[in-house]
Amino acid sequence: MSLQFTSQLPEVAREALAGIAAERTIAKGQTLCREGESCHELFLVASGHVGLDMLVPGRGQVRVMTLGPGEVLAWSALVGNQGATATGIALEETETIVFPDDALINLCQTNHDVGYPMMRELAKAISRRLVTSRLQLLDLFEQESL
Amino acid sequence: MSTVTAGTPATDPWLAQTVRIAGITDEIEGVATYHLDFADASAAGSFSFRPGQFNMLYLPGVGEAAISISSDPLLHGTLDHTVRIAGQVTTELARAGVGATFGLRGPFGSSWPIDECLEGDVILVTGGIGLAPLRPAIYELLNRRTEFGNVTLLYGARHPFGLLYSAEYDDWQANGVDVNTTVDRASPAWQGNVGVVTQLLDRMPVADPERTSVLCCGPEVMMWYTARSALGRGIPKERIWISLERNMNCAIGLCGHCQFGPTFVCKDGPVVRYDRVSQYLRVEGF
Repeated sequence: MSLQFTSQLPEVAREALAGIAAERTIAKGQTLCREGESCHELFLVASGHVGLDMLVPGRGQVRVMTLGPGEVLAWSALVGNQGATATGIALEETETIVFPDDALINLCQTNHDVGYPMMRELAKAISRRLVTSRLQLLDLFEQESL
Repeated sequence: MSTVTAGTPATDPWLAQTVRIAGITDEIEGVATYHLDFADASAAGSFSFRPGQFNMLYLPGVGEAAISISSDPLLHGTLDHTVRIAGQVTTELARAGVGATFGLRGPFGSSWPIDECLEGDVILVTGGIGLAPLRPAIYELLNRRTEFGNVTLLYGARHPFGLLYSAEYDDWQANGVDVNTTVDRASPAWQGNVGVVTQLLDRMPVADPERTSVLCCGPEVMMWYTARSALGRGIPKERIWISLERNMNCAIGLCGHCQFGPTFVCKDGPVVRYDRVSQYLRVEGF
């Protein structure tokens, strides 16, 4: 399986990460992370789709994005412990690769041949997410014409 | 009868043919498809177009507007235009009912490079009303389905109620077009994908990028990011095509209103190869 996130990692990093990762099937409707709660696992979607929902008072849970193969979620497991900013729910049976936070942080801190490329790919993933969020904000289809 | 090349006006390009609104389909809010008949049967017989081309719709006393053709190029005698209310001509058109007549010049402009996609995979990326100029390309791909590899439609809209031609998706899917939709803003009932359409391209498998073509139509920012994503997936720049929109007045490259760098969009476009205009796409004021 070739995923955008892992395909750019050097072999040494992929092997080291595989040593701490586990494959996990998430059933449809199961929550991967919950808004406001600490994340102790970083998820990489291998197949299937995950909805990202945010709670808006008066509107309930609002879906802000759908993630698919090659995309990561619950990255606060690696970059901080402030809690998830959205709730991730499997929209169908979803195959994931799961990285436990303690092992991942320890690996990245002690082995910079893994830590730097891992953080670089995570930064790229966050950058892609930021760009897509900006494009949503631009509301490009509001006043188009043909 | 004189021989007319497909995709060129049958007569003097300045002469308008009279067309009649044979039917109107309300698509989404502020957007309707007008099904047009030619008043002159011989004009109907000689009119043919290629996917991606446009006509100039002329409402006497109001003006002209360039509108993409959105029907099946194999269907002769009737012509569809999907129109969003955006200016004087389209506002007046929206007031017209079945049976109303007006003028039509065309077809004009370049077309989607369907023949250059032969035997390869085709990805159509579009957003909002940008599906209208691509719909004839979808019909042609369906009409010639065995000549292409995988055909995928990635279509985004502002919200679920902004998806054009949704009644046709099942038919397209059943006949070999993988239809993927997404919306920027979900309603509570929406069970589909949420996010911008470029995300769909980012995550879809591209098995043979060297033989994959991307046909893209939508807001220019969307097309720019689509091209960026396609290039990032290894698709050659020569295989990325976009449809531009500018203020087209004469439709034959004389008046200059639609000039875009060295390109006259009405004559050299609206469909252009991405690498031929990419340097101008991010220039403010163009």
